[in-house]
Amino acid sequence: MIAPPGNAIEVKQLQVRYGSRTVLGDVNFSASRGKVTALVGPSGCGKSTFLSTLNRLTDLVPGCHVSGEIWVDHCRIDSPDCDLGQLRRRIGMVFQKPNPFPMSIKKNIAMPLKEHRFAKSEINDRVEDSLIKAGLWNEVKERLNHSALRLSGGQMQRLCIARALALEPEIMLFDEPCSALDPVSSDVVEDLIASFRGQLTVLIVTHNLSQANRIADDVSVFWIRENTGTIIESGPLKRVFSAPQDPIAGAFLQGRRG
Amino acid sequence: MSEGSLGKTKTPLYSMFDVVFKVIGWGCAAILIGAFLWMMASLIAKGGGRLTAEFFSGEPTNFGRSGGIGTVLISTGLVLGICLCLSLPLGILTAAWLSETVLQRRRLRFCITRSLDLLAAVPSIVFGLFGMVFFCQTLQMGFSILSGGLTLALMILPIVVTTVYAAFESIPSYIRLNSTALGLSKTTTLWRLLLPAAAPGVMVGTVLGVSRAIAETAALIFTSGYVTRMPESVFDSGRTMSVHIYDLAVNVSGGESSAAATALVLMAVLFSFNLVAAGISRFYYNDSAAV
Amino acid sequence: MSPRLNDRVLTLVLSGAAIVSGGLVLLVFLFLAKQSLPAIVSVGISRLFFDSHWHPTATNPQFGVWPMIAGSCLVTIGAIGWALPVGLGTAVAIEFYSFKYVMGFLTRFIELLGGVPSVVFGFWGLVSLVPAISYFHPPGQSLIAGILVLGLMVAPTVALTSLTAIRSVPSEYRRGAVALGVGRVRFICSIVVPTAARGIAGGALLAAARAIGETMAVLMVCGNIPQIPKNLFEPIRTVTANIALEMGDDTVFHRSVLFLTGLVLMLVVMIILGIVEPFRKRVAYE
Repeated sequence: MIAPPGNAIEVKQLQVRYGSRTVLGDVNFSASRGKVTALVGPSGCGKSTFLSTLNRLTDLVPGCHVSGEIWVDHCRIDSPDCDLGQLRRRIGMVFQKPNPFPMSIKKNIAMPLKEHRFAKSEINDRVEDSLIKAGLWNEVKERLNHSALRLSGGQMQRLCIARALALEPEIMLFDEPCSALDPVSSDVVEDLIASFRGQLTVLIVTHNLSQANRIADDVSVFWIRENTGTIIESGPLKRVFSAPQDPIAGAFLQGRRG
Repeated sequence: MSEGSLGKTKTPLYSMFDVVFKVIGWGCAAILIGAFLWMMASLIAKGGGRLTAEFFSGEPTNFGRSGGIGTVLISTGLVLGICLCLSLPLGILTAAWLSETVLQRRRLRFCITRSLDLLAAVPSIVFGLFGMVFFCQTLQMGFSILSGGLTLALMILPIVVTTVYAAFESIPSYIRLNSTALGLSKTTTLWRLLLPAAAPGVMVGTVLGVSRAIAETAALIFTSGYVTRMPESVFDSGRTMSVHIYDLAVNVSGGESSAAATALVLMAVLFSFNLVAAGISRFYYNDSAAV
Repeated sequence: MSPRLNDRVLTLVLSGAAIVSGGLVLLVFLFLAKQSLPAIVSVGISRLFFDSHWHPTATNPQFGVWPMIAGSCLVTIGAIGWALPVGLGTAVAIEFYSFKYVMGFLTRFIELLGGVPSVVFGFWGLVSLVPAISYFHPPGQSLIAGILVLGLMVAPTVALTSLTAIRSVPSEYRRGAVALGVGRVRFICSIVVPTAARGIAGGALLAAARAIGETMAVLMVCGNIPQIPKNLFEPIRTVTANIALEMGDDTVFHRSVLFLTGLVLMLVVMIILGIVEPFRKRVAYE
């Protein structure tokens, strides 16, 4: 399943305000289909907020106001008549802290499938399929009905990935997916994300520049200007790391590269 | 400096006051403990001997002086059942609304929480007045278990809402976040994720509410009535344990031992409810009081 | 049903429930007000205060409610008068003069005492306390019996709220006091009690609200004679007991007056609790 070329996500003049505070301003961004894009930058510059605008999780935040244009697959997703259920099925999201629901491993995956009206007969196959894709099947196939909360941190995170994959998303958003994991689990999850290249459009927020270096095709650097987060540099990974156009982005990438 | 000389820096006056304070404080505690023990002792002395198996199953005879409280227990159960049938669903749905619609309708939310606070402040005798006119007369339910149960439902609604609301609020936010990110509808989120997670809180709310309801007398005298025989349906009048105690103590001379025995049963039920509620709170929420 | 329709139905059901719950207090209020109307219009408020006696069923009915109001106030003031010091003393004993496990046990004990139904308190008062009082000063069923039983009922409320207030005094104060060599008594008197005063006062008002609205205990031990008592050993009748005793009567004006007193009672309790509100940290719903 090779995605057609073109931009999966286009963001124009995005601005996000929490009450009177502008946390993101003047953001222009595009992500190519089937590529892994890393979002890097110091803490608190709006990277996670940016991810949540893409699947409209910002709707959950009281007083949050989003303006600008967000296009996903040539659809304006910031319009009021966007089908949010569909949008969130097509855009999977995985958070920093691995947090499956307090139910069995199987139900964690099957419940969203039922919600999105996948045929009942397919559900078992899809559960297995997504666990295989997340590299978790061999570890849990004997105990699918056990509570998901008894898995290790790395396993839980892969279960969360499997849960999102089961819905057949076209885009996956990762919000620092490895930073709460131990180094070994972190490597496993990282390899898993790298393996999506070519099949899914992946956006990953990471504080680990060497991780970005290892798995990303493109990179966008976020920075705070006048108390507002924005993107100061983006492009193919090699170019941005070797010849950044923005001096601050260059210093940030150099300083941490070690 | 030796320890001895440090010890002397305490003035004798100070330590004398400390002792006086200690005595006064413990004296106060002793009054409360003593009164409680006196009460328990007199209840056991008067009614302990009546607590046999027949007492729990038999029907009251000779106006309750002899016989058991079997029919009273059944009436109590029915009143509580009716009370929960209304207050539990209404309370849970209200708590869900309060906790899941923070985004909009601030003013309505404020009005509703305030009026629940006011409802909690209504004295029970006033609930009795209201229940008598509204349920018994206006809605023509008469003196019946139904009227009594519904009156109590209004009374315990604020308790149920507060407790269940606290349980909803203690659900970690990641559950809502993940659920939304997976595109699950609000309905699914509520039924499949939030309600199961709030189940212990719902149980605590139920137990606290039932405790308040089962202890109630004033609101019931003129709504569910005095009748001691076996209720045939919820439209029949029936007396709860508390009303039974009141009636025996005030209107039936020689009813003391039955009243004391009934009071012991009532206290035993209440204490075990209290333990259950505390146990659930401690186990699930790591504190001793959920409210 | 599509998910969105589902959600719309859910929102409707939830807001419906919330509005019903919120509207209940209004319903109660309106019904009481409607029933009180004849008393206000035909009997007139002034007669409630200027009629010298309470003879509602006489051919020439008298609706003086003063004795009942006096009874309610006296018994409440008396009950708080002894429950406040005793409850506060208990809280101090629990917090400052007991071992850790005794502390937990005692708190639990006080909670249990607070959970005893009022009808049981009333029963105990009637069969144990009233005979004891009548041994000293007949008839036994009296203002003092009401004060003692009611105070015992609300003392746990005072003790528990005081305990919460005392525990909310920042622990730095205690460490600071120890570091300065301030003794325990001075620490309690000049730091803990003033800092916790608002909480303690709130607890006392809460207890007063409970006491004034209480029916069963006072109904059973106070003797229920509507008169202004000359001493502690005379029987009295409270507003609540009056309602409970005469609610069954069907005379329009009589009943209407009872409803009016109930309505006023409800408003008084609400006002007291409204005063308590700023004293307490709001935990519910925030």
